[in-house]
Parts: sequence; structure tokens; C-alpha cells
Amino acid sequence: MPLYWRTETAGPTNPLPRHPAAHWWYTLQDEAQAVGQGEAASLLALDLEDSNEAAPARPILMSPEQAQALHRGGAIPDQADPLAALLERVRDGLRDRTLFAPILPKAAQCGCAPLGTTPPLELPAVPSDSTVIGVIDDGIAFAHPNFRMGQGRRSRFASVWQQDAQCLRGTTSDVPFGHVFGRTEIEERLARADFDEDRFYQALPVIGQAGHSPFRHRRLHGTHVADLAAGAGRGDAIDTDPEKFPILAVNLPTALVSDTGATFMAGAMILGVQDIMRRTETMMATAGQAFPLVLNLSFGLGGIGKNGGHLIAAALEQAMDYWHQTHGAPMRVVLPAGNTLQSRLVARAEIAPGAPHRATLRVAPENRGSTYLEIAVARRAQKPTHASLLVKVTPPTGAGLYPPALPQGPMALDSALQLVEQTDNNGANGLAQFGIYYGFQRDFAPEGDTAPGDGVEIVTVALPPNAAKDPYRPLPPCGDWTVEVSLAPGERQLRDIELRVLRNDVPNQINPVRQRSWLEDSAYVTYAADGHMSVELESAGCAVSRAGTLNALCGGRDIVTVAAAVGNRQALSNYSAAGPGGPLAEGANVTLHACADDAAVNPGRRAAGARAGSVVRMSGTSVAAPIVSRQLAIALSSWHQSAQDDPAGFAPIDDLISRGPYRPQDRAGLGGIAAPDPVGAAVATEEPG
Amino acid sequence: MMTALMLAREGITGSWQPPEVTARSVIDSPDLGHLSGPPQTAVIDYELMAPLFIDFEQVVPEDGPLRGVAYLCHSDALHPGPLVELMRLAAPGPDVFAQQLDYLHHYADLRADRMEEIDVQLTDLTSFFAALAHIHPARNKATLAFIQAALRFCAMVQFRIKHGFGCPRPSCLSPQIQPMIQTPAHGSLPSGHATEAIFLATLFKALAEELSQGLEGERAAWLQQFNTQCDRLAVRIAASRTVAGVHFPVDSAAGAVLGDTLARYVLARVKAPAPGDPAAETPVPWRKLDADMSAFGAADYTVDTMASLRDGGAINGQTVTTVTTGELPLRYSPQLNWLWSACRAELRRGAPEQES
Repeated sequence: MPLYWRTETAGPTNPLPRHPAAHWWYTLQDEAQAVGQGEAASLLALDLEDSNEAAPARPILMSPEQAQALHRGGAIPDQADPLAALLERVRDGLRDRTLFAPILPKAAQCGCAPLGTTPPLELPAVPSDSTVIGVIDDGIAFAHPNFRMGQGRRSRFASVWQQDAQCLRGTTSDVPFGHVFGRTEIEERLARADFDEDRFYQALPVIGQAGHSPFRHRRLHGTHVADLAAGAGRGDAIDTDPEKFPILAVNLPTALVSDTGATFMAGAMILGVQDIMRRTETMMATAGQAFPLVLNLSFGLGGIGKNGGHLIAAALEQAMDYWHQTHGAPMRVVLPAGNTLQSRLVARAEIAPGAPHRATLRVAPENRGSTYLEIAVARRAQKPTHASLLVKVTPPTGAGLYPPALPQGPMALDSALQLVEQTDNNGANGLAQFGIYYGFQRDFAPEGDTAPGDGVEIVTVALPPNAAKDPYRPLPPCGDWTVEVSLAPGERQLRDIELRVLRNDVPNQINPVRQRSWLEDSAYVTYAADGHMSVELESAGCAVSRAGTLNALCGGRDIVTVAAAVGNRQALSNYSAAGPGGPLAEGANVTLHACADDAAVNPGRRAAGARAGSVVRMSGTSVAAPIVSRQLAIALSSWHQSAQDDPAGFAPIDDLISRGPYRPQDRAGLGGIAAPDPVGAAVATEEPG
Repeated sequence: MMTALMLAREGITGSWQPPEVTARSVIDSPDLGHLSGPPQTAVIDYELMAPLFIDFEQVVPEDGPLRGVAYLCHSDALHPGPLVELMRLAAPGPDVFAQQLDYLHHYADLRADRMEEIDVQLTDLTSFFAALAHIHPARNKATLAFIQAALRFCAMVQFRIKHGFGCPRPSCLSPQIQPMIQTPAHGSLPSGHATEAIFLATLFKALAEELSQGLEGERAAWLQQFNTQCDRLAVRIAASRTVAGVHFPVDSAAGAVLGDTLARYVLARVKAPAPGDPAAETPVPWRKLDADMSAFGAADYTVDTMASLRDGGAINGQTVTTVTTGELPLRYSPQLNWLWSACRAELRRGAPEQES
């Protein structure tokens, strides 16, 4: 079958930045739709520079038809403000400040008539000295008794946005998809189910794919995290005064979370954050008082910025600034540092004229996710017209895939180069084997000497999955792909480059067959001389590094980034990532650590399983983060009795620290919060009397 | 040993001079305590099984394919009284199994979660129910003997009905189910695990009534909670078979009807009053379940649908089980009464009348 290179360049008439994940999705989506297997995705547009003190940037939801038209460069139907104004700014060539994020195609859109007679969402009246705990995760089992009060009859949730639930309120819904369960509805459903959790979840509208509700499982990431962050039974202020710690939750779709290439993460995450902020503001208006807000997002992304990581991080920093300035109350965002210290996802090299860097990207078989490798020039500059790098990708030896010669460089920025196989059955677009995307990410949170418009060149190599449930196309091979990064013709200056493979693994309970992709280097040292897993940040003579493996969502100065430590040792967990952040996130670093593993031989921390009486053990920095969120919420609750004059500086993180810091500080931050009592707190759950 | 006994007799027996005594025969002793193993189980099994028979008919409804109907009947040739239909169970048509197939796909998500339970429950359900109370092989010999006897009876009936219906297994309908355990050779409906689970649940609720006599305080609340746990456990055991890929939910539904019927029958038999007891003059009231599994349709087997199957409530707007009440005249069995009395005495250990 003939192979050829297809080049597409974004321009004024097709201004969609070639966000590789989104572009790759549209390519695969086009193919799938051509054979009747795909569904069109809608698009979220967020102009991060369109925010001010009065309101955070509001996302605009574009329909699948509008998204397709934008992608193809055609006339966009049904334009009205604010979309028209945003597109105008985008066409001015300033599109890099706009996040275009696809929305999961199967999210139940709210454009249709309401189903049944679900009343409008009402938020509860909460005490005026409340502190709100926000949790964005997947699988928060919101009927669990650990999230109830009033002898188990009342819910501590003020609202839960189940993003992949059937939209019951139809056109009257105030969210674009899914369903928001308010406290009143949760309590009514609990009563109707006679407080039986199985009955409660069975009676919910369809969530995700029919028959595959996440709440049937025993181990749920979101439930474990929410229990640590806000659950009952730990003998602290949350137990004493549960009314004053209302919980606002967003349940992300499981299908979205299982794609750690984060194709759909950015849009869902940003909408979720805004949902929590908006609902908190409504409760504040009723109470006549501003509330401190702690937001826990136990997610990690790899990569640099083109997947939206930098944009999400910037959005989170903007949200905190907005809260402090507009409401004069503290807001904290807590993120996990990431678990990828040992994952071989980061490499650094220097390239010179005639001296390219050759990286080996090992892609395991049975890889059901796309593999993205981002290559960034580790230097900020104004956006050039052409890329300073030239990337050549060679498929694994023996794969039988022989691409023709690459087009001559230099490549124009905002261009996509795809190796396409022309087939008889798959339409005019053919089947894309892999893609190389030359892009530029503007710095949205510039500090210091950064000039406006400065950013980082990023080339992204995108490989589709090599295993699929129902393959309608030949799949690319597994094995060692060679990625050669050289200076573009005409470039003379040495460049430091950073290579990052986006995470491509998920917790077992979501997808046990998901394999990872990673960078191979024979000089990489896995085990130290004493037989333990090495935690040295660098291996001599090796480009692959453990340094800078931080979660790409951890943007800048204000996000609280939590590493993982071991309870019974003066040590960090050997997977806990190291700062600083990558290009565009140099200011990001680990803030502190918390105990995510009771012991080296007994990893993880125990917290709620999906049902009352069920306790499960989970590990990782996403377990450490909610431990800190809880302590922060309790500390911030004294804001109401304070002078209330410094929302950003109130209850500094140093106050929580009582351990370490351990070495190196890139992984430990300022130190850690206390390890738990070895006996462990009794988990007391209240059942209705 | 035989040689030793022979040699010892030769050494000591002396001249043949038997004394002039006789020994009484113990006619049909109720007490089986001196027996163990097959002799004891044979007596109990015979007593339970003798008056029971199972009949089948094939029905060709106007609007559907051939289906089997099973009748469970009590008819005691040695006791005056008519034949009593204890239960009627109509198997579903092939269309219902086809409708139910999606559940095998959905429930397969839980295979990793339920693996340990499914493995142990291949051979042992009793331990799960016994865990609801303080049951131990040493302190509950008679109780466990009663449970085992009851389970043997249940198995005999359930396998006969399975064979009578000959219903297909899920893996007959789709090669994508790929059960995580060996699909048994016998037919699917009713589910043996579901039958035995509800059977045990009903028996253990009766045992709990006895156990509660040794408690003080809110006994009614304790009993209610015990009963709820029994029901939930029974449903979970049955659902795990769908998770494993070897049963449709409708198989479990049919099992619930059969298991409930058999347990109530066993309890009625072991509690039948002795001649001379005034209660012996009155036939036992009997709830007959008449269940048509075609009406179960595409419903799932849950605690709620199980309760409706047992009590005659609607499922998805359909009547699956019709409950009628009648009478069941029973002959007293001394051996079954002994078994139940011994069991009861064990369970009431700690009750005031026991200890005084």
C-alpha cells in the first residue's frame, strides 16, 4: 500500500492549533467515522487571556459541526458571541493563548428535552463559617456513609457533577453534559433507597456506558481520595463540625481518565474546576460570606504543555488569583507530584550542527493508548516562523513500515506531518501511521524576565495505539522506534532539548491491559549497588533522567504539589517524582510530602472502598495529595476568625511540616506532614438510626 | 485385627453356655445419634425425600416456543391427605435468554473483584452464612448435620429440575463470554448456587430465630439485620455466578423460587408436630409459588427482584410469581424431629430456659 507524507499547516483560515492529542483524535475520529464506528467530538474553547478580576475565563462549548468546521478550515456555522469574538482573536494569529480541548464524544450532551421531572439544582445553605473541599476525580461513591452526617441521613456533598451521567435536566441544565446531583436530590435518593447503597447506585441514571457503572467496583480511586480529603471517622474537626466542611465534587468520566494521553482531560478538568468555583460562589452569596476553598485534583499528566498541561496549570493559577482578589478568601489547589520517577519518561540532551540526538522510544505491545513524545527546546523565545528542530522518526526494525524520505526542513511552525497509508477502504484521508507536529506553546503565566509572547517550541511525535478492541485498520508496530532530533537546516546554535513521553498507564482497576511507552537508554541505571531501586536523579552518560519528572499540571508558584513518603522510614517513596517542572513550568516544584505508604512492605494507605464497611489500600502521590488537602482545609477553616487580610499567605504550608525534608529536595520540598499513628484511626461510619 | 480377635476368642471363650436372656429391638428409633456417615445420612435423606416427587410437562404457548414446566409435589402414601402442589416453575423461552445475554458482558467487569469469592463458592456456601453468627463444627454438630442434610435434599431436587428443563448456558450463545471457571455440564436454569443460597438464607433465618433466644435487648432489630444480611449474601452469591459467566440472571431468579420453596418445605417437615400434640390435628399452612420465568424478561437479579419473586410483587410491571395459600398435611417423622430438636438445643445454648 502506498505510503506518503501529508503536510498540513494551520493558518488564518484554519486557525485550530495543532494540539497533537486533539489532532490525533480528529484523525482517528475521521477514520472511525468513515467506517461507521466513531462519534463526532465537540470542542471546548477557553481564552485564558480573557479573564479579569470580575470573573474567570468562561469556556465556550462548540458543537461537533462547529469543531469539524474549525478543524477543516471551513466556514463555522451558527457563530454568535462570545464564540465569534474568540474566533476573531484567534484569527489575529494569537491563537496560542486559546485552549481548544475536545470533549469526550460519548458525554451525554444536554441539548435535548429534560428527562422526567428532575427539579432544578438547589445548593444547600451552609454555615457562614464554612470551608469548602472540592474534589475532582473519578469514581467518587457519593452515597458512602463516610460522606454523610446527621446520623447518616444527610449528605455532606453540596453537589456532585457526574460528567458522564445521562443529562436529566435537558436544556434547563446549567452544565453542558452530565448531571449535577445536589444535596437535596442525593438525600431524597438515599431515602428512597432506604439508605442501601446498592439500591442507590442502581437507581441512578445511566452513567458512562449502560451496564458499566463505575460504582459496582470495590476499589474506586475517587472514593479513596475523597475519603482521605474529607471523609468522616478520623477524629478531627471534620468529624466535629461536618456541616462546616461541605464537599463539592466532580466525577470525571472513567473513559476519559483511562486515556492518560489526556486527549479529553483539559476540557473536562477546566469545566470541573469552574463548576466547583461557581457553586461555591452561589453558596457564599446565600451565606453572605466568602469561604476558603481547597481543591484536590489527584491527577498527573506527563509531557510539557501541548497536551494542555501548561494551560490547565495556568488556568488553576488564574483561578486562585481570581479567588483571592475577588472574594478576599484563600483558595488552594493541591496536586500530586506524580509517580513517574522510575518510568523513564524524561530525557535531556544537547544537539549541535551535525550532532543530532537519537532517542529510542520503546512502545510495548498491547498498547491501547496513543503514545505521545514531546520534544521541547529548553529555551524561551518569541515564536519563530519555522521550527529550529527537525525530527525524523524511524519505525521498529522488522516492522515492514518503510516511510519515504521526509520533506526537507525547516518545517513551518504549526504544521502537522503525517505518514499516511492510502487504502481502498478508508476514504480519501487514508490511515495515519504516525504524526510529527511542529508547534509552539506560549507561556501563559510569564514571570520575571519573560517577554510577552515568549514561549517554547515543542515538536510532538504521536503514535496511535497498537491494540484496539475492534480494529478497523492495520495497527502500527510495537517495538523500539527511533526518534532523531537534529537542528533544522540553517540552524547553527546549540540547543538543549528535553524529551518527555506522556504517561500511558492507568490504575489497574481501570484498564489492566494498558501498557506503557518509555525511553530506552543502555546507560540507564535501574538498581543501585545495594540492590534497591535507584533514586539517583541522573545516570552517568545517560540522557534518560529522573529529574524534572514532575506532574505537568503543577504549574507555578501557588499550586501545592505533594510528594509521597513512607510512614515507617525517613524516606520518600521510590516512585515519587522530582521537580522542577519542565519547560514553561520551571517554577514548579515539590512543595511538601505526605505519607502515602505505611511501610515499604505494606505500600499504600487504607481508606474507603466503594461501600460502607469496605476498606481498600491504594498508593501513590494521588493518595498523598488529599492527606494534605484535608490538613489545609482544617487550617484554612480558622480564616473566619482571623484578620482576613492575606488570603494568599494565610496558613502557610510550612505550618503543616513536621518531618524531614529528605534528600534530594527536588523530591521532598520543604518537608513532610506527620506520619500516621501506627495503630491507625478507627473508621467510624454512621448508619441511619 | 481380625486374626487377633479370633486368637483371643480361642484363648478365653471356653465351653458354649449362652445365658437365657433376650434383647429388645429398638423400633424406628428417633435418635440417630448412635449413627454417623452413610447410615445416618441415608435415614435422613429417605425421610426428607420420600413424599416428594417432581413432574414435568412441555408447554407450547401460542406466542412462543416450547418451554418446560416443573411441578414440585408432596404426596405421602402413608398419610391421609391429597397431593399438594408445592410449587410450579415455568422455564423461560429462548428469547428471554437472548435478552439476558448483555448482563454477562456487564457483569464481567467485576471478575477481578469477585475472584476469591467465586473460587471458594465453587464448593462451599455454608461458611459464608455461618459467618453471620457464631457457628463452629464443635459447638454446632447437629446444626451442621441438619444443614448438610438439607443441602443434600436441595441438590437432589435442583439437579432433577435442571435436567428436566435442559436450558442452555450463556457460553452456548456467545463465544465472547469465556467464563472464568469451567461451565458445569448440566443445564443452567435454575441456578444451583442461587437455589442453595436462598435455601440456606431461609434456613439460617429460622436458625437465627432460635439463636436470638440467647440474646437480650433489641432482639427484633438483631433478627431484622440478620435477615437482611442473609438476603444480601444470597443475592451476591447468585450474582457472582453471572460475573463468572456461567449463569443468566433469570437462572438465579428461578433458583430463588425453588430455594425458598424447598427451605420452607424442609422446615415444615422437621417441625411437624408429633401425634397427640394438638397442633398435629391442623394442617400446616403452605404458600405455593407459581412462577413464570418468561415474565422475568430482561430484568436483573437484585435484592429487590428476589424479594418480589419470593413474595409475589411485580417486576418491571410484570407478575412473575403468583402466591396462593393452601394447606399441607404432614406426617410426623421421629428422625427428622430428632434432628431439628438437637439443632434447636444447640442454638438455644445460653437461652434462659436452656440454662436453668
